Amino acid sequence: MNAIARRRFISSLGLGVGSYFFQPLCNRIMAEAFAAPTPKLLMYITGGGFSPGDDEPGYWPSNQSGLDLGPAMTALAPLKSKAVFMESFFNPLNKHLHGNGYSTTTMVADTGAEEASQPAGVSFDRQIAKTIKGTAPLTSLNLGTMEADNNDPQHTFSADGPKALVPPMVNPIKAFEAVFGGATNVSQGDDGAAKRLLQDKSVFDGLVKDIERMNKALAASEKAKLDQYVSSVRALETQLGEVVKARASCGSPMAPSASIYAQGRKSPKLPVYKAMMGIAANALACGLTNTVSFLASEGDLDFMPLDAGGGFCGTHQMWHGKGSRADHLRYYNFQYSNIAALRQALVDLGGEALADNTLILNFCQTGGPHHNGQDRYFALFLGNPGGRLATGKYIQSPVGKRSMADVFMTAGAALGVAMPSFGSAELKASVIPGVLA
Amino acid sequence: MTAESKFIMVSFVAFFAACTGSIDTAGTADGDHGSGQGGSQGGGQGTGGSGSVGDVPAGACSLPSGSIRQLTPSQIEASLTKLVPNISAAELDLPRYGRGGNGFTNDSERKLLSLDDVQRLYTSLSKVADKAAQSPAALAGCLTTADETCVRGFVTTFATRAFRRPVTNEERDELVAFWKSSKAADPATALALLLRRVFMAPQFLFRTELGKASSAGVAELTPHEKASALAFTISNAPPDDELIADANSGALSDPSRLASHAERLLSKPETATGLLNMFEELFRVDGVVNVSKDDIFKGWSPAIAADMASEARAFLKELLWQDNGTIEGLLTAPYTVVNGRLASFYGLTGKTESDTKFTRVSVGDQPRAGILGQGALLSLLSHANQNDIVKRGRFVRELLLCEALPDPPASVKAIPPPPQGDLTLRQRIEQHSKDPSCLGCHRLMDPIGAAFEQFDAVGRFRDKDEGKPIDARGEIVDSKASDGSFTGLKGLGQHLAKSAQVRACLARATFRYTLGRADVTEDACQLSELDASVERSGGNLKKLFVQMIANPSFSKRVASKGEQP
Repeated sequence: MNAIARRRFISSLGLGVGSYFFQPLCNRIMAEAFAAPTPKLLMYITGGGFSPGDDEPGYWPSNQSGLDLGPAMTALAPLKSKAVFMESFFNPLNKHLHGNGYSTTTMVADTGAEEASQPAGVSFDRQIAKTIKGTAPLTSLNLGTMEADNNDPQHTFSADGPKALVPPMVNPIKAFEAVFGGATNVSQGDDGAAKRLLQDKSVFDGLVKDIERMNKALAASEKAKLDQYVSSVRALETQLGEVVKARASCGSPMAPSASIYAQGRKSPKLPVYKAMMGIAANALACGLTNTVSFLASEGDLDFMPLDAGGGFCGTHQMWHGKGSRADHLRYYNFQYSNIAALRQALVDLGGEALADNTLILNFCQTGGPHHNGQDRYFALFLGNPGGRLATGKYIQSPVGKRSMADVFMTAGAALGVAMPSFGSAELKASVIPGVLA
Repeated sequence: MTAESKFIMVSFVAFFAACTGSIDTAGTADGDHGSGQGGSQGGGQGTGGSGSVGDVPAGACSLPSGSIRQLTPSQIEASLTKLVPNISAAELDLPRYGRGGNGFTNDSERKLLSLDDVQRLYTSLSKVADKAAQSPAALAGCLTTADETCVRGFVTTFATRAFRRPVTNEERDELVAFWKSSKAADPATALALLLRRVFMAPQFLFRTELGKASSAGVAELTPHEKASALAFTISNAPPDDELIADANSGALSDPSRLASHAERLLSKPETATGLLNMFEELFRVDGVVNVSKDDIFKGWSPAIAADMASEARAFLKELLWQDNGTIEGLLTAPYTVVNGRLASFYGLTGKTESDTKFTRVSVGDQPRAGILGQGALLSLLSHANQNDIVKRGRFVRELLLCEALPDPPASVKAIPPPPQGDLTLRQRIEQHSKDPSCLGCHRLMDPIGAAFEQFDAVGRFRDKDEGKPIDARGEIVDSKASDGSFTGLKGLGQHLAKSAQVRACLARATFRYTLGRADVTEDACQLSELDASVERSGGNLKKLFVQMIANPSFSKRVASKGEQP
């Protein structure tokens, strides 16, 4: 039973001062219910940077008259007391034409030239995920809206370490199956799920026998390949068991319609955004994972009326300065309204407590203009796990003073995760003053 | 000098130091050059990697050690579609991998079955199994009765096809027992679980190249291992019935029979998908479809990018099956295969059949040369807003000359110098690279990349840059055996086509692709035999594969103490 279900269970019992006889049971249940819940992270990465001219006062948050969000973030206005808005952070590593490659989230310089680069460190989301996994079956859920380009840096930002990419799932149908359906489909109810779990186990037991038989013929170096297979099969068996337990405590969300997804960059992306956000919120609410990374990058957003001549979608044209101010604001507010909607989905599924316990961390893959933007990253914290943040604030750091590693250090602190440092030691990452309560 | 440029300067010193010595073509490249995803570099053919080679009797070339090789996603798809009726590759969601240390996606040195991979694999293969079990009669008529004798017969046939060798009695009995144990659920579930077990079995997901000891210290691959090795290399698919029949009869022990199968499979594109795949991966054909260009390039679109990938594929087919399929043709062919849309984008005047149909067209006056002059490679080896002379030169140096270059220091800005007055890109790069700390490496790449300057960042011909005539003079210096000057892509293509170093490099790529690993120092002897046979065959690309199949490293391994599974 997850924390939400426990609280609902306790609430349904109507326990109060008169429940004297239930004291021992009550003590145990209450202790569980009020133990600090494991914090959750939802990392929402946008793409493209700012269009030239949009990086000017009047678009973005400021403190000119209290906390003014500016027209680009009106969607977040009702939530501003629950958020911290921060700028301007730099990343001195891997300065590419479009952002910083994997070092955007690892804060360790990638190896290799721009298009052939490989991550050289663990990304923030994966580092946090391993710490806050708790009893959740999935370490993290990595979602995206755009086709991966054989692990193109612009479409994959999660890594477990050097050369160990964690590509996002970009097809919502497959993502839904993997998280809420798939091999162990709980839509048949708990009995069905348990039965199927046993069947899966029988397959895995048989496989282990097959692998062991084959292993006898192999030299040590080759055995390692099959050893990895055995341990992954066993880990999957454990994971499926945990997934069944976790799913039993909440309903399966509605599966996305198969018609919403078409492969390719030019395919409509709005339904994909929506479906992915639903999967993310439900997975967090169900306790299937405590970490979600959502790469909400460029896509063919059909509300962007800009001429796509010259290549790709309207948003790309916008980043090159095309379109009106209204067009640009529509795009920025689209992304921030998604963030607001994600928080609302968490409220709907698990109450304010779940939403507050989830830190939505937003930043863009490019820190400033579309090309060569590495020095003016903006970061948003929404939510307040453990009440560690001093929310309702706008904090501006002078350009060139603090790196994004400081943002990640601060996010880690907000989640209650002790991180002695993050990223390259040269960056000397530290918590940004004034953000924590 | 700003603090940042000082930092870059220091980094260049390290890069320079790495390039001032002679390039070691038989030394220390770590095999990581293949890790680039969709980029220009990657897959450098410098000797290296951790592929194991065992001891052999004195006087003979070293032989590889036995290994097991995981099927690639496309090989799993091809295998499933042969096993199960009405399954399309589109229904599968298998984990995809980038290029490994051998420069190709079929690198078998990697451990690829992490928890995430196995989860995706199990989910996907279970779906196929469950769907197939819904129509048991399509698998075997008697399966509708759930009779044990029927299942025993089905298992024998099905697992033999799935494992690409006769199923052993132990395996068969165990699979039947497994089916019986789950029969209590319902027949469809029992069959689905049986299929899941077969699809996830290591005998299906991996193939062995272990062999059986045939003489002192040498293990000859079994006929079924040879059949699989041949089929997955040339066809990127499991062995067909003819190969299996010859494996069953033992005929594949005869090298000439193996060679004739190789020639049979190579005789048409439908059964030579593996050959095509090797060249497509070597020349990064698919990379262009995800390339983004700035809107200064009018007419560029995802459709044009997709056309460019199709052009390269169609050209390879034309070259290999309608032309003489030589290395010379690969690098100098005065034609391409385009549709009307792409021809118009390139400004080619040759007649095409329609906007969408691909037709062989002469490049006319444009100085295009084989695959090097096609949009897929030219666009990939460019920035979003301008050409990339360095990247283009590096591609030739690493992928066609097999000379390993160090990666630039991570802290170096991989951004071309910004426009300065009316200087051409070449002039800007030359100015930038004059710095002694840059020169060491850039002199090896930039003069080669400059020969591509007649083509812009989207593969269109141009005769001016910044209003000045293009200077497309190029030069290769300090190479093992390819030094010389040339002008433009045509000149570069002709120069490379004459180079024995290029032929040896393509032979090495074939070796790496076939063995699924980077070559190591001990492979030098086998590689040298392969080089010699390539020379004898006049650089014919299909014959190169036939010679690779005839090379002892294809069919022999060092005998190990293990037993054949």
